[in-house]
Amino acid sequence: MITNKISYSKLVVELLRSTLVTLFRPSSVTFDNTLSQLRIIGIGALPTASLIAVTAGFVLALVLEIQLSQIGKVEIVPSLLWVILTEQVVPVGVALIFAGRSVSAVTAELGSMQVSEEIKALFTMGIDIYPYLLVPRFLGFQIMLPVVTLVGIYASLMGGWLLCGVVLKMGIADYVYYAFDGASFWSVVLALVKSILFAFLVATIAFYKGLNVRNGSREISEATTQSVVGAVIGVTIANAVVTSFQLA
Amino acid sequence: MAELQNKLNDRPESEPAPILEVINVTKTFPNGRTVLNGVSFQLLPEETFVILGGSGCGKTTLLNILIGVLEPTSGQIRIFGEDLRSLRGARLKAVHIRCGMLFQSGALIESLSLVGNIHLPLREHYRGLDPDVLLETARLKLRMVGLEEHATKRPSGISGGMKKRVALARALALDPDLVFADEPTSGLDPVSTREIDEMFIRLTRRIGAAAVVVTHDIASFFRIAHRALMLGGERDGPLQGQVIMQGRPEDFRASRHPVVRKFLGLDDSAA
Repeated sequence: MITNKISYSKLVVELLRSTLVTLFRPSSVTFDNTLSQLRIIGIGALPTASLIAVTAGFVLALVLEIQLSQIGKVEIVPSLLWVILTEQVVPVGVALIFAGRSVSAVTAELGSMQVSEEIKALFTMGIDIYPYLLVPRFLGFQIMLPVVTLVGIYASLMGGWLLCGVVLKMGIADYVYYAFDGASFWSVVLALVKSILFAFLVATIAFYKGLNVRNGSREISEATTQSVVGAVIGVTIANAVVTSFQLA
Repeated sequence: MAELQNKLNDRPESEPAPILEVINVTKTFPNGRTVLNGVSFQLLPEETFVILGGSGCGKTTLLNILIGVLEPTSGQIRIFGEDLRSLRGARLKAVHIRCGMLFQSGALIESLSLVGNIHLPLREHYRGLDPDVLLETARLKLRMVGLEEHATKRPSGISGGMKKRVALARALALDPDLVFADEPTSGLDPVSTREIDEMFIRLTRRIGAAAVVVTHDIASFFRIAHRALMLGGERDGPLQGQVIMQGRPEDFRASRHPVVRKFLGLDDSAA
């Protein structure tokens, strides 16, 4: 019964099943909705994520330069930036931007649809809400969070170069040379794996909280707050777990 | 109007099998409140059946049970000859495709235009057909409720009465055999109420659909009903959640039951 509260585990199982079915048998409705969600969830986050990534790269480079100049090791600033930004700061930062921006929007949207009986209406029209509503949003998170993470990595390294270029008078060629000296492509793979995991967490938390709204606008605001807090906690804990396994 | 009413009351002489059977349905919520108590009725093809009752008597709960949104505590719903409780997946979807639902609030999808709302069930269930044909069909349905010129507007940009008309067009988009309507005229002025009623009668007759309509609007009831039942509400004490009366509109008019007479405004003391 659609009026019953949905459990997180049931939601995840049904969402994964519907996503697989949709990928193998795509419909024009789901395709249109997915394109729309890629734009709403991901493209809209690009300017904010890029700006924050540039400033994060700049500030981190500044801190590293001040500390490492005391021991005469400023040339390792670019390679440290590569590892810290690519493996830690950018994947987590972008996921937190999605948690603040897209998770709250999706939760509020689904919650409003519950309160205004739109979801009930879809059910009575024989339209399954998983392929129609959830799968496009899920794919929006799963595709765009890694894409924005890659853009964020590039932007943050540009931010690092701004500092290195201005303060250390380091040319772009030297910056790239030092950044990739000892750098591993594995860092990018790790960033993408993390962003896929974070996308899964934030999307399912948004769906779970939004779909379980039942009574009125107050519950929508509570669900939105809870989903953002849950997504932030989920991302930080998941990052700690993945990093622990990576370094163990 | 009298002619229309006479036409509506014309029932086929040999009654066909019911398309909806509600058998002894009871609903008790987790807080222990019983809102429906042994409700039973049948709906025949092309018949408009009205569920009457005061606010909070369980009319909408009963409708939610009939559309499979709520589960009854006990009793059985048989729809198109199948037990509603046993239906899952594709079989439940097949039943939903044969039904249309008009919600009290309209429940239009806010992210879609008016024509998009009607187009949605068509493109979901007729995927093999030419998209242009489906879009034209959606426009035709919108024209039937007189709103074609508002096709590209969003639901938030139209009045309550217009929302009800779009919701009616969407409920009829798939030419269903059975239409459920929850308070289709609530919140509307008398002129709009009459318009919606006449539109409802005309459109459901045209496609030969049966209808279950929940309302507390007496004028609407007499305009649209072939038959009706009345549920007892909280103020009716031990009768709460029970069927107080079931019959044709003229049976209700002639009823001597004090609760029925009071509800219909026929109570001498109330006059």
